[in-house]
Amino acid sequence: MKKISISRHLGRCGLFWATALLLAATNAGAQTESDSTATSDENGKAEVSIELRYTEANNKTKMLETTVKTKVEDAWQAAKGVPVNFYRNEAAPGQLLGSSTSNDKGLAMLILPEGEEKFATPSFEYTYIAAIENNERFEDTEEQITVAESAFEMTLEEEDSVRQVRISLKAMDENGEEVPVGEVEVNLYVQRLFGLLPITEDPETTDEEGEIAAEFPADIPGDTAGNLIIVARVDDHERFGNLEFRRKINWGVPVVVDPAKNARELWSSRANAPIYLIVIVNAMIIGIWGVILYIVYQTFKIKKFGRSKVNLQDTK
Amino acid sequence: MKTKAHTSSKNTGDQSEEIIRELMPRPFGRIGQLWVALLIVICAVGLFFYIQQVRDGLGITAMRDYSTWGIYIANFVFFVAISLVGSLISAILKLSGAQWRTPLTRISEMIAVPAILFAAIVIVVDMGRPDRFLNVIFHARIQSPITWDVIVISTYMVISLLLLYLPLIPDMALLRDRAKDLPKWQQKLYKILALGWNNHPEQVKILHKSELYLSILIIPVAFGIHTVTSWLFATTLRPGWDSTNFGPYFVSGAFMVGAAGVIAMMYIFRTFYKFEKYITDKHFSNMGKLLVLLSLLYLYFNINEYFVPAYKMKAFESDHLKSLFYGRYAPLFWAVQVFGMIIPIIVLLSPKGRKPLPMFIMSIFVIVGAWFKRFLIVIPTLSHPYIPMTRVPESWQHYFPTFKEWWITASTLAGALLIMAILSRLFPIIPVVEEIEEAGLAKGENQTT
Repeated sequence: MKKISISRHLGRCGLFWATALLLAATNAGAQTESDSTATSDENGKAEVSIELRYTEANNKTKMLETTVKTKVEDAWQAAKGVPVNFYRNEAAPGQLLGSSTSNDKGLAMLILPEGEEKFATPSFEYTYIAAIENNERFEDTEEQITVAESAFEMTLEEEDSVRQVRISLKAMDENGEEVPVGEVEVNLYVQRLFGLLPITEDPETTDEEGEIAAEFPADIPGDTAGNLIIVARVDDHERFGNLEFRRKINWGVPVVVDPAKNARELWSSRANAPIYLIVIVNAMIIGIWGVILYIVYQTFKIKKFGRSKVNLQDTK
Repeated sequence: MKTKAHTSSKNTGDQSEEIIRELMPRPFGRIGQLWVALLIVICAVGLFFYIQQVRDGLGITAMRDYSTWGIYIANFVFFVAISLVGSLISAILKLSGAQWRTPLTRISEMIAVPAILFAAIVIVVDMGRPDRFLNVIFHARIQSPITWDVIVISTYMVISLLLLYLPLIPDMALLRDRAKDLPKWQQKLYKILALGWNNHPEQVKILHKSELYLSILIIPVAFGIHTVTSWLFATTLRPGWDSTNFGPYFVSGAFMVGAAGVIAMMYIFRTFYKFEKYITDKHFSNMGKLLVLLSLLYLYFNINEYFVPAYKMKAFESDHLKSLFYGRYAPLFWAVQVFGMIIPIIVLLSPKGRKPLPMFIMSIFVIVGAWFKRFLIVIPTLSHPYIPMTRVPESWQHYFPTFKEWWITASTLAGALLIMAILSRLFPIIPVVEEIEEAGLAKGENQTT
């Protein structure tokens, strides 16, 4: 569906003032329409829900993500343009990590600053809060999540032509020692252009050593150098949230680019247009526009002859 | 006898004066003012809805995953079609030596220029992101019919503008020299557009030569513009569009609606400006015969377009054809064929049918029929893709334009009519100098002073 908004672009272009007024009027109209359909409480504010998720990638990047929804005619729908405040431990001004505004899918995200470790509780846990506060359209809402410190790693090994993906998952005990975590489902994928391709039929599960060893298939196409991105993921774990580890390695079957794809054909890219077509089209353009430009040039000559005084006398 | 004697006593100068006085542009009357006001209101509301579309996207229309082209594209094809009238009257009739076309040339160009201008505008209206229009030019694939269409539309627009402007130059000089009681801006406009015209033999020679070159040049470009427009459809593998007949089918249909457009405008101008002396019953009769010829040609291509696929009824084509013949689109399909083609042919075959009023009514039938014909070419095909529709809401499987979509479309039609009205207010609708020359009054006269 081709549904796109470009009001920002219009603003930049500095359109005619009347257009700006019309735009403002239409904006106001749309706002009212949106609000009128949402279910409101006695204060006139709409009911809203937040879903808060924690994701840690490659043991390094930590991110908080919320989905903001509001009730429209008894159905929950994504709420766009809602500011969400993110806090550590409690929703107090001193604990504010940052703010983000929900997009058209209701998503608002915040990447946590480095050095979160120093804020861990004695049991090596972190608590985060996402809150909608003092919003004109929506009632105050907050959601809290607590996640445990973890060490999620993936190593890739090749022995006797057998390729193995090894996963290790550890967490801290009360003494600050790393201990393996068993019975956690881990999904293994290969990154493709439009999504993730699972490389095992079912999720693998960590053993009592917190490890997984899975054989990697040898027939997955990679890029021209055979490179692949292998992805290991723990999804929505009640203790750790989402964990992800990605690594690039040349375990794929190198793709051989068919030279015919670079041939000059009707269906090729614009850089490989057939020579005969380029010649024909350009010859037609030059031929026709040549005549047009000649006529325009002749038209200017009409003006030149118009300055002739002798002729004016003749014709009067 | 008295009248004859009186006329013969007039000198040629008086007759020239009379022609000039009768054909000079005139201010709008009450009806004209109301008409212009109505068009402005329609355009303003259309602009308001269009701004909403730019802000919210094409979601305000009924176009979805399957019906990605709707009435905007049908309207675009209609505008391109009707713009071909310029080449029909200014070029084909000129080169075939039909002298009677003189009073109709400017009317045809006054239709062609706004029509091709709005064809280009409508394409931008159809874009969800109009700010990306320049990508079509900067990242053009020369293999794509869309690229060819952009090239040929811009070329045709420039040629049409020149064909409107060049024959206007002597008339501009006439207005420059005579219309002293007009507002300053208008006098200045005529002075600029007159290009210092003073009937110098070299000027006359350049003008005639340029008009001749343009008349020749516009014919292949006119065929090109509508053939390429038809290829936007025919190069796509879809039921109803996968046809080798599409080029001539589109071109013949375009000439038919173009001729009808001229007839409608002839009648309106003749009635409101009392041009009976210049746009005579003979002109209507000739245009009527031309319209019959073009309609028969179009009928022939219609038979080819529908009969052959219907005879074969290939599995994938059948849903589409049945929806036209006796399904969802049947009332519109048969109404267009009967009222937009068959009835006008029958009526215009009779000399009585080629009188101004019946001609006007038939031309309106043809124009309205032609618009809905483009609707029938674009929409039913998109509703019957080769790959079955799956996993889409039921409402996406049909297309009926939204109110805002209708209005935006109507406002483009109103915009084209508004430009025609403005052109007819500023410039002589009938070429004055050519009329004087044809009346044999030009010798020894300076038409520009």
